[in-house]
Amino acid sequence: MMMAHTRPFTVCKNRYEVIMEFLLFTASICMFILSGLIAMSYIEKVMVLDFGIWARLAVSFMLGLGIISMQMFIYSILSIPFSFFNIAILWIALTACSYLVYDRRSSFFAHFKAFDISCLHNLKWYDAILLLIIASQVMYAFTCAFLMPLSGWDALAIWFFKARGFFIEKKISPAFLLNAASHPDYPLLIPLSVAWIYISVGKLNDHMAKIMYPLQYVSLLIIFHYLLKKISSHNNALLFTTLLSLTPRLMFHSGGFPAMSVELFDYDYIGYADITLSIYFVSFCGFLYLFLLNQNYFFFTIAVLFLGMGAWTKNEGLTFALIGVCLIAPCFSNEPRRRLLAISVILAVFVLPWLAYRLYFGIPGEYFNNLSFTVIPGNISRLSVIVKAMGKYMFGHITSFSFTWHGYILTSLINWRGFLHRPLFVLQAMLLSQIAIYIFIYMISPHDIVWHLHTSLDRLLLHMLPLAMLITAINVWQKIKPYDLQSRFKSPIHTQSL
Amino acid sequence: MVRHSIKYIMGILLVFLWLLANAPSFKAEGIVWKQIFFSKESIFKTFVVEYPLYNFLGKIVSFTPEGSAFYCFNPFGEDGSLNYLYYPVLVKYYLYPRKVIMANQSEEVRIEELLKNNYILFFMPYDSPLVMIESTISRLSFAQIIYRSYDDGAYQALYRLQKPI
Repeated sequence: MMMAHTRPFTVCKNRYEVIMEFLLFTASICMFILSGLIAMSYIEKVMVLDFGIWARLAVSFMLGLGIISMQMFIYSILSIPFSFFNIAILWIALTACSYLVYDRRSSFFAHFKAFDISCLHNLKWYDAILLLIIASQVMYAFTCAFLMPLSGWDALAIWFFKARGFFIEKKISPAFLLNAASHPDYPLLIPLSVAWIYISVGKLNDHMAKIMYPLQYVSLLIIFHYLLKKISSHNNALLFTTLLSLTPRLMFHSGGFPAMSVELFDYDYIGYADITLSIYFVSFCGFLYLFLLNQNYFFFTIAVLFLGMGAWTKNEGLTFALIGVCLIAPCFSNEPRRRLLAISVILAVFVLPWLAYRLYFGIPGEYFNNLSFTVIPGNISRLSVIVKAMGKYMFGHITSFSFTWHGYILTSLINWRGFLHRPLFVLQAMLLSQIAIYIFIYMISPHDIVWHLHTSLDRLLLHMLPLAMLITAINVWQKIKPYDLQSRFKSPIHTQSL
Repeated sequence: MVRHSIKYIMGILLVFLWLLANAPSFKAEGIVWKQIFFSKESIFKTFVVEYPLYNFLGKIVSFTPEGSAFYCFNPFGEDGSLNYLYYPVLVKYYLYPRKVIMANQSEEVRIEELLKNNYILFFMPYDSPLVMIESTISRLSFAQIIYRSYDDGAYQALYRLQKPI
């Protein structure tokens, strides 16, 4: 019999084991980035010179989450067991091909020569203060995410729980999804990405897997800064990136706050899929905006990839993808069919396999199964409750969303003319349509509406938060610097053919 | 030049406004940094020990087989509190793929039902409202204690069940 009266928590790992785990974890993150870089190098026909190394790494990481998780999903369908070798070999082989084939080498390996340290010497006091604030937030997110145990409800019940199942079974088992896991209909980008980290480390290590969240936070800030810098100016981009980094709701999901005086699961939403979805939303809109400004198809393809990955992250991403397709379809009425087909394929790769899988194994949806003609008129009284709750969360919860929504409304009213022009109109339409869809989903929800709003509305608004900040920044820029943006992007300085 | 300076100052004021609105979250961040830099105990202990069950469950999965079944008493009553729902999720997560049956303390426990499992898991967070019935369990001849721990979050124990001959 083993008997132990121990004081808890003694760190029993030796130094070698800890270093090995970190190395393996780094390898798993590198594989996300590598897969994203390779995908980008294959897309890239026109070299975008000012697509710098940091933006490239951030975009690659976010693309990599979608690519590796989809690769694992396809492996599972093909009955190939999950292992580090099976998954990594494809990307290692493709990297080798990129090196051997000259034209691929020029685009893929050119990424690593783009970092210019001289930009750091030209920092002004203003930049330094803002960068310091961002750095402090990033440092906090990494420290807290790594130290704290996993505690968010949905993380334990849904996202990380599925990852555990996939890691233990080395595949996606329909029996596990239907019998053991909650919400089997939720898409699998996050569970499979977490499972990939477990597979790389070789064990269930939640602390390592949680680092994925501050990494996403950093990626969001870099992508957001890149998009705004391209759309407006360096100062405007840095200011609004700082404001975004300071928004507490974002920190709840990327670093979390330990529950010292509140209930156990409050203020720590690490392990959820909402921050990932919000990054895909804002990235899609931002790259689409850049495409509409300068007609560079590289930006458009990246945008479509993000749109597809949003649908592969959460079911809310499906509706966003639908709105996105409706809004971008008119842009392609005069385009060659080949291009239209390529874009449809990219979108379909991330949207259809999971829908087909659900249909095949009879995994039911939560909301639309209950939808009937009587549901909506029956629940019309909910509308006022939903709108009131939305207003309260957006404008009353300053300690959660800061002044983001106030800023969005105010600047949209001031810049109402911008609303009517195409690039900004598309962004506003995406945001407002998605909010309208959330209202509709609450209308048909089978749950008690007060409970449902209380447990999910803050997260749904987080999906839109970076996008609202992006629109606010563009509104501000258009008011303080009204000049022809299009001319900036048509300049040969920004794009150059290889 | 003056126009540029005004823009910078406006920007800094905007950031200051954001910082002001986020005072509660900065306070929470401050607590974390304070614990990291000024706590007398180790960083890991300071944080992890405040959460009941994490260390305990992490330990017991290392010596219990994956297919085993656990009978667990929920220390929180069915009073609608979130803790009543939260702890079963936590236990199920850490013990997967082990089977977990979570029972209310108020329910009558039948011995034959109990013996269908391999272990009894017992935990009592210090904020739980109910008095645990561990003393009853410890008197059962077919339940042997194999692991026990106390920490700042809870008292926890694991009993192995052996069918009486």
